[in-house]
Amino acid sequence: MNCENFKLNIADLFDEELSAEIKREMLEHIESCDDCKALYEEFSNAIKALTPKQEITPSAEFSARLDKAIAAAEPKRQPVRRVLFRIGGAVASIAAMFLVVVNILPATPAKAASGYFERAATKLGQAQSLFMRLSMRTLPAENFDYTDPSAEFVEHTIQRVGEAWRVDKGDRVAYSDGGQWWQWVESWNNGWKGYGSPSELVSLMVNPHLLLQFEQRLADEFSGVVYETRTDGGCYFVTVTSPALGDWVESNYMYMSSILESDSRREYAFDRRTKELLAASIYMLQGEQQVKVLTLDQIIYNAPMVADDISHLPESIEFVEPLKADSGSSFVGISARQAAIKTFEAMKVWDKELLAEAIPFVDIERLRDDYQGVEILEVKEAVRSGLYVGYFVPMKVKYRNGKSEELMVAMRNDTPSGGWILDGGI
Amino acid sequence: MKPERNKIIGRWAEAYQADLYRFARFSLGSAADAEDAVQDLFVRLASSSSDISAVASPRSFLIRSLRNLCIDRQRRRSLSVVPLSDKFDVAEENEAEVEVERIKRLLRELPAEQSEVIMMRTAQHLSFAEIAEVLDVPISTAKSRFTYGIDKVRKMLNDKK
Repeated sequence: MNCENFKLNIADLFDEELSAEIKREMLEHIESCDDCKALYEEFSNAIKALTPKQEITPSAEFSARLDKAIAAAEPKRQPVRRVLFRIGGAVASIAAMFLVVVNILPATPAKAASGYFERAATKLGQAQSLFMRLSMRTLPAENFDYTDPSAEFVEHTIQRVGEAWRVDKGDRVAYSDGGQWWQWVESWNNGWKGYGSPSELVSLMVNPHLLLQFEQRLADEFSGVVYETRTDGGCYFVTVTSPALGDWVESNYMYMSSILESDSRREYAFDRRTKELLAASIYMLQGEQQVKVLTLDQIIYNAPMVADDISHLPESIEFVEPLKADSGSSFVGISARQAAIKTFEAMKVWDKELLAEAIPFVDIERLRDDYQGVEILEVKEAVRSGLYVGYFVPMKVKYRNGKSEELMVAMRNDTPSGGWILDGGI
Repeated sequence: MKPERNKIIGRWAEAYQADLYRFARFSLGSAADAEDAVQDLFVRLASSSSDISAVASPRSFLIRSLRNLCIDRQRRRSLSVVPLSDKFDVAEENEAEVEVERIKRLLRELPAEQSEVIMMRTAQHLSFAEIAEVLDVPISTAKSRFTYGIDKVRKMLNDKK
């Protein structure tokens, strides 16, 4: 071994995993070379200076605290599998909510806010086209309603031209020509099509005037909401603090799973002269904490766009129509709980035809490995939660591999046939 | 709640909490921050649904995860100012804390990629192979970062004499 080699490999001498032979060679070298020996000693001293001699340990009570924290940790719900599509649920539930509210004369800030919401909604409704950029804490491929306060912000581009619109959140894109919609996730190579709106939040994104009309109605009629207003230069700001919307009597399963189903604070900025909405932010409130989950960063009214600019669909993806006329037709006239049991019994024996009807949103072949042979251990009564249009059926099942799991199976019957389909939770 | 998963995480916590604390103690500002980071790591693990049964080397896996978490925290706190008096109060509490601060002062002069390798070797007693696994770099890179860093500290100590 020469000096150059020794210097290059000196770190090896401080590694316990070094082979005995190389170590011997290196040690032999320093015996015969004073410079390298001096270097080695200085290296040893530097390493000694950087090696703690004291025990560096956490505080005495840390171990117990850690155990407690681990035991108390709640597993996060799996977003992808929870609910695949959420069509039309919020509109009905919100309408129902207004019916149960006691009418109280609105306080002055609410009244002032109501006026701004109304005029800004009109401006948005009148625009021939809209271009918006918003950021939301979610996952790029996840359903459009899914909001996760612990996720990073994902930018959404929203374009509306007349009745047509397009929303792009990176991995998941939706387009509608005003009648039919198409939605796809390129990375999953999956596409769906249908009519109406593919998601509650998408309805509000592409029709922001509906959100402002909703806020106006809330300001006029709902008493559990706090309003603050202020003016700053040419801007008028309204802050709305309101509790989670939806039905929480039976289950809080969907609580905090979307913006509308969370206690939230919504901040709107309006132009005092034109009355146009300029920007908005939404915070989810978790106890004392608040997390900003959505910001509307840019709105261009009457942006120079034509319908053709937003209408392109990916060629490689085959679009399936999840809700066919016969979807759920073998599940008519029974309860959500019975429908869930019937679906899992079909999984056990892998009744392909019945499963295709019961689980229209998923390619059932993909479920086969996990769910064929599944056994039901326990089924509780179905519950409603939040704004979800259907029911959740709490089940305990046992898989072929012997593992068991507790599920909240989402069942809904707002289908063309009126029969139940499985919409998530597996 | 998946009891099996939590049992594994509980075992990991018992076996590696001291190791992980030491790592966090050298990466973050105070003992309280370090405990907080280790607790956060395990709570996140317990509440996530990722598959942990396939983790071959829990120690490397945990240190790697904790390192990411510490980097994230350092970034977030890089703009906040810690009053000097706070640091001195903590450092005077016990000998171990004094030692941590002394070593951190030496390491502060080095690029982060060198100081972290040194710290993993001297305080965590990880082998270069383990360090390479945590950092996802070749072993030769881990060694050369160590060598360059130690060489700088060696010169600093010589200058002091």
